[in-house]
Amino acid sequence: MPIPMETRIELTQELEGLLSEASKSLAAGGTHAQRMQAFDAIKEFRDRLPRSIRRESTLDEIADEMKALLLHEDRSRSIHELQRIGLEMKRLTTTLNNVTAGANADAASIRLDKVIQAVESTTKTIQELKLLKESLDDGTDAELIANIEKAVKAIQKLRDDLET
Amino acid sequence: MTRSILARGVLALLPLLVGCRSIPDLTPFAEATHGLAGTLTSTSGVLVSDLRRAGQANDADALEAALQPALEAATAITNYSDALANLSAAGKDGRANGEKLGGALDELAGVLAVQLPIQFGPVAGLINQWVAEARAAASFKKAVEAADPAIATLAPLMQQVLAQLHDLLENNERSVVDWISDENKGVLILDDVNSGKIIQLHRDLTIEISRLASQAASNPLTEQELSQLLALRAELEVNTPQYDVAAKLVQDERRKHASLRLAVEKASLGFGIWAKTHQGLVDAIGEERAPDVRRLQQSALEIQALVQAARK
Repeated sequence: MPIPMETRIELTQELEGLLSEASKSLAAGGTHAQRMQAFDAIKEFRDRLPRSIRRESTLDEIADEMKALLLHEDRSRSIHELQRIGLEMKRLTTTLNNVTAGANADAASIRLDKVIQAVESTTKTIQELKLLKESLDDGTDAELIANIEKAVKAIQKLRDDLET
Repeated sequence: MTRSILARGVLALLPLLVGCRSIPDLTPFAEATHGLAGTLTSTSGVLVSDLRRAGQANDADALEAALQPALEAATAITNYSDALANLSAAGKDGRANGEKLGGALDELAGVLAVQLPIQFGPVAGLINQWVAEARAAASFKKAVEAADPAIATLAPLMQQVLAQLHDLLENNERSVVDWISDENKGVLILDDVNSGKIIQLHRDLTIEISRLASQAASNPLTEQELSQLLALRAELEVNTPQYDVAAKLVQDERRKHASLRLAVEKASLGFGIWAKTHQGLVDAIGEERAPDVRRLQQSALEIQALVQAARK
């Protein structure tokens, strides 16, 4: 059934009104709530356009473009705001990371991690040196070489544990 | 004998000498902090992924980059709360660690073939029990006092980030639902259902049937109108099962976004409670009592439940 010209004019005027409201929400000072309200109104308008009008007219295209613009602009403003907040956050994050590193180092020290590690390495080194001495006295060449390697590794580990 | 009595006396006095403050178990505080920070991660993930799905790659990249500092701050907060729990545990494990050190010293003495008058293990455990607690308490206080000014500023900033995420979720819900319902674009977002055409067609058919039905109430329909009505009804019958599937997709998106928005609102309140709980930590350690983290825990549990509901 053809849509009367009167209806077409009414729909065009209605869309004009909606676009005007949408423009206000996009201007400086427009709020997120206003933009969402404008979007909902245009969506409601577009959804109720008769099928024949939707097929032949540009009203739905204009409505679609404005809907997309409203969402994009609204999103961009949030992203911009997040960028601003992010700049303030960076310094605080660094402070917090430093405190965390200090607290974890303190916890390791309280757990006696390094001391225990150093004592265990010392014990291991002495054991390896004893074995080395034994193989110097009466071991084969192969045993001697293997025990020299083990002793050198144990001493290196001890050195690392004491230095770090 | 005299030496033994003297040694016992010194051990008995040790708690008084080193101070006997202990740190409460901070695992609940750390867990609750993870819950709050998790809201940021999950919401950001949904937003960025939906933008990519809808072909808005530039906005997705920009949002991802803009959220990076907030996500790094959330990681810093969780790491910090873990570090406090770590300090608390280190203080509690003092005896075991002391015994471990003592055991290592005993082993060293054995390797050196040194005869010891006593075994180091139990004694070192006993001594370290108090020393570790006192050291942990001092470190804990130092850490909390150093972090508190940063946290007092960071918590409101987190709330500002969450407010933006709330707005973005409202925006995203409209965007996703519009894509699903749009007859030209709906097909792009769904793999197997051209939901846009289905939803729009359902709406059109319903409107036309309703118009003819209301016309029939006042004037009898012509033969042509009657046959048109029957054809529309038949078309609607074919459309309805597919429409139900597409409508459910829309419903699911609305439900998911409602849950996420509620989680974000609760996380915003949660960060306020979190900052206050943190302030209370210094007082708690000074007064040798457990900090009150119940509200924070409750808030984190509610948020977790909402985020999980949104994922279903």
